[in-house]
Amino acid sequence: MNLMNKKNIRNFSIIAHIDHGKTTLSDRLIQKSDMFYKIKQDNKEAQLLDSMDLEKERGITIKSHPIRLEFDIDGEHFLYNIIDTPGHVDFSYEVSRSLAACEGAILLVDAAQGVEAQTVANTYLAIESDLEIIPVANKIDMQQANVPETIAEIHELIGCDENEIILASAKSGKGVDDILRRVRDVILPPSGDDSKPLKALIFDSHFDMYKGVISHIRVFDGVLKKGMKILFMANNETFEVMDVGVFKMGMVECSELSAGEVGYFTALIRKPQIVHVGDTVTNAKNQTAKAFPGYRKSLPMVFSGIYPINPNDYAKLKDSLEKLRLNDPSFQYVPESSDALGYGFRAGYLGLLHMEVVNERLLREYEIQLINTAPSVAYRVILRNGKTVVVENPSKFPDPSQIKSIEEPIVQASIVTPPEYIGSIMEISQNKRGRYQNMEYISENRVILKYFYPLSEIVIDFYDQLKSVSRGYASLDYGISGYQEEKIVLVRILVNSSPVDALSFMCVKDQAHYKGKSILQKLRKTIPRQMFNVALQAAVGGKIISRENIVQLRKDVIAKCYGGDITRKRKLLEKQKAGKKRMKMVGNVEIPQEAFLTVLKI
Amino acid sequence: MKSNAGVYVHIPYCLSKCSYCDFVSSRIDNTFEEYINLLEQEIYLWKSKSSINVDVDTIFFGGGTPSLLSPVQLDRILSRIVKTFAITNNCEISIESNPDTLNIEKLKDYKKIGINRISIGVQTLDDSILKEMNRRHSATQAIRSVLDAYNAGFTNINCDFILGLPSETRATIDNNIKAISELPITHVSTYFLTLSPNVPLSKRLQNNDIMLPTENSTIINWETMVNKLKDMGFTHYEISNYAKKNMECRHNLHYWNLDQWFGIGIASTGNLLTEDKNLKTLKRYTNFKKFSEYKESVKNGLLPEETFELVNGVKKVNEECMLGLRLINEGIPYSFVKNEYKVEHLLENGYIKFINDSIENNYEKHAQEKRIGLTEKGVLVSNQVISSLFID
Ligand SMILES: Nc1nc2c(ncn2[C@@H]2O[C@H](COP(=O)(O)OP(=O)(O)OP(=O)(O)O)[C@@H](O)[C@H]2O)c(=O)[nH]1
Ligand code: SF4
Ligand SMILES: [Mg+2]
Repeated sequence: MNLMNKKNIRNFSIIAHIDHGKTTLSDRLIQKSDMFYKIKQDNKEAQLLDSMDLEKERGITIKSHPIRLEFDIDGEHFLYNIIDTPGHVDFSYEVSRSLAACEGAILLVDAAQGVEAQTVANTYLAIESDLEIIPVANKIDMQQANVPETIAEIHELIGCDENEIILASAKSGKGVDDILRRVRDVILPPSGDDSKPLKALIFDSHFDMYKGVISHIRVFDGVLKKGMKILFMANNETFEVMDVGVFKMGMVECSELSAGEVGYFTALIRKPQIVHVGDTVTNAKNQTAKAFPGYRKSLPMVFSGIYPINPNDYAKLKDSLEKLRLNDPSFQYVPESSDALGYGFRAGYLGLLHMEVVNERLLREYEIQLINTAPSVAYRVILRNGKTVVVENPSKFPDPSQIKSIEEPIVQASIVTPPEYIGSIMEISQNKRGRYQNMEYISENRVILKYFYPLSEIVIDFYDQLKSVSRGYASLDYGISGYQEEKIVLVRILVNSSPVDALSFMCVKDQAHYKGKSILQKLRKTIPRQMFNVALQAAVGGKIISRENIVQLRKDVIAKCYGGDITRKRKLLEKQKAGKKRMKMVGNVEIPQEAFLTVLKI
Repeated sequence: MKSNAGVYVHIPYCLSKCSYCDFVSSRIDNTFEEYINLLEQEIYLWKSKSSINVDVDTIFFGGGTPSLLSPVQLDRILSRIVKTFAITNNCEISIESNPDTLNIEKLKDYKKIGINRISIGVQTLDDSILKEMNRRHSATQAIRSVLDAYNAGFTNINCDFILGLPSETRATIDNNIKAISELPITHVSTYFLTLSPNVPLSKRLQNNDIMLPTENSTIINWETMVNKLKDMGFTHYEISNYAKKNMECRHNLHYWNLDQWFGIGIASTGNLLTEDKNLKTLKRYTNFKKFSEYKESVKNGLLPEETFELVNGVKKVNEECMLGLRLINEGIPYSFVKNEYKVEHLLENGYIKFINDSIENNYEKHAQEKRIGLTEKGVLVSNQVISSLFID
């Protein structure tokens, strides 16, 4: 990059708790940049950076989007690469990937909300990556903004001087110029060396139908050029670079990317598995001595079966999952099959929201109708023969007579909340088998509660419950802390005596009866009456712990059907038939998709 | 062989609204006379159409309450039809009626102008239920009109009954059956009460003012009714229709055989072969439902067709399946079935059966091919059975 001195490049992220204003601030920066003049005002979308439909609808950022902006600041030209990071509890892995490509981070705190659980978690990640941190109190235009307290909390969190904290409103634009200058003054320019062998870090990737995998990279040393033979160091695969470019509002090709720059390259890579986030890219003929140590690896914590409703969609699903994983490396899957559901996959997600997002994308982007089986966590089963097996799929549950003991994953959670909700949070924690650890005041009005929970308890609706008992004020962050022995049983659901593996689940022994019963009750309501009686049973081992019946459908409406009724009647029956097609046959019982979903919420 | 066609004339007027009714029918008002004039004009409009090159062997006045028509009014419409269409000698001419609009004189006059089949809306013979349904007649009146019709010379008399009415008991059904056995009725239609949510009776149910009989007792009542009717010599020939020998409603058979019929009047549906005769595409049209629109069209010399659909291909096959199975002793050819597993399942569980080839009047027609039809058990869940046999 000859036009610009490396001294004038800054690479940084914006980190914040969900909804604290990252996307709005990024938009504001885009508008301040030279690029803005090239964007037609009337084409401007609600938020420029959140491109996926899904994000618009949910209003949260899922994928990190790098963007390169140019500014004239006090008469000098600067190039800022900004990485908008996601802020939800399930996506902290993506934050860590973005941070590794940066020298600094803007820490954005909503002054009406104050420091929250993910403000804390993300700040720690930034500190671990040795980033310069620029603290900003955002939304000061809001009436509910409590600036002094927010300042005190930020001070408590990173130990900065209170006057270092920029007071801003991403909405009105106040403080944005201060932010631009502070970035210039505080964040170090990249320190790479163009003359050294190429060393670039992959921090993200996506798939393009024509160009194949598009790797998002930060170059640390050397220069990446079109036509160059490059090597992915983790898997030793060599490719020839087709295009090199940078991220402006769209992708813009350029001749090369030199040390310190953020951009992308393509190399006609058809297999998504080749490109690993965290891998190092180097010149195949002139290799760098040492690869990056890699990102903090994030393991899937929640598992569930994904099956196409229409078995003919299997190949399409497989293909879509592959593409999806490319855009979302934290999503994992392996093929599996189920007696009830046929061929599908066992997928691993970061959390339940992640699971929802993946499923919505499959439906929306790839138009595949799916059935998800009950989510599960990975249990460690210690067998009598001394071996340990990891079981995250109820259908793989070992013969109980072979089991010595079972351990379940435990998370350590930090909940940041105003003190008045402590009581209710402790109450739900009790129900979720939580173990209290300690409590710390960040400020007079803000407490961090630390708890240990079994992961299985918090993956389902803990987050929703937490939000509802705290009127949305409490925030959550969690990480795996270890395993703990527990009496875990497999609950099988039988429909007319045939076990439906897709409805089976593992749970604590004491909860088996209650959970089995509530699943059966929900099933009874969702499975339509059939032309024979249907018996629903929940069983632990050979013992039936709960049962329900769906009585036979004996009577439709016997209606007249004369000339004017024929079309309507035909359409009604066609609709009935279409409805049946969306159902899964288990034995001879037709089970609608909703039935499989009910189990998700138990 | 091209089948004959029917003519349906809709009379969308009633004296008051029954509490379960959501048909297109309005209170009788000063448009009634005008409507009759419009009907005459509409019929006349068919004169120039090529589609009337078909013999008409049934005419049906339905409603609403067609028996609101005076014999003179009815005669005007009927004569217009006779002048316009090619009517066969033995044409079946039916009228629907409600007991409160009938008397012996009127019935005699109906008979005189050529009506030869009468359908009477009895519904039930329990006075308190009739009141709840906001019917305008008593049980005695209903019985009386059957006898009057008979005495006026009608030998083809249908009575409509509704099953599953609020506070209906086994005694209600026994009483209805007894009346049928004692009266000169040759045809019975029964169907289950179906309620759309916005009718007054639905409101009463929601408020728990009244209760529907249980599913179980409705089934038992229905089964009792079917068996008793059979004992009395009625054949269960269509899902909701029973007839003494040779007394089937020929007009309705046109519907179930997917023949052609003309629909005349507000909201009427007609079903006619298109020019494309090889493909056997049917054009099914429906007339305007609003009086003003209907009127304007007819006044402008245009057939008052509001919408139409072309019925061919899969649609037609499925209709043949649906209607064929409604005809209990006709059924559909086994070869029609695409999903043999499904049929085996339905046969095994007694929802459908092979129709006995030795049934006399079906022998010639179906000796070549096996046919399947609904069993009594299958009739009760006919929607399920039929939809499962539909093709995509
Ligand atoms: N009043 C006011 N509202 C703001 C300000 N900044 C952001 N908002 C609003 O806060 C909401 C969340 O802003 P986003 O920019 O989407 O937040 P985010 O941090 O990108 O959210 P995620 O990507 O979901 O983590 C939006 O409704 C914004 O309009 C501000 O300075 N003042
Ligand atoms: S007589 Fe028939 S059409 Fe008229 S209101 Fe009663 S049910 Fe409806
Ligand atoms: Mg955002």
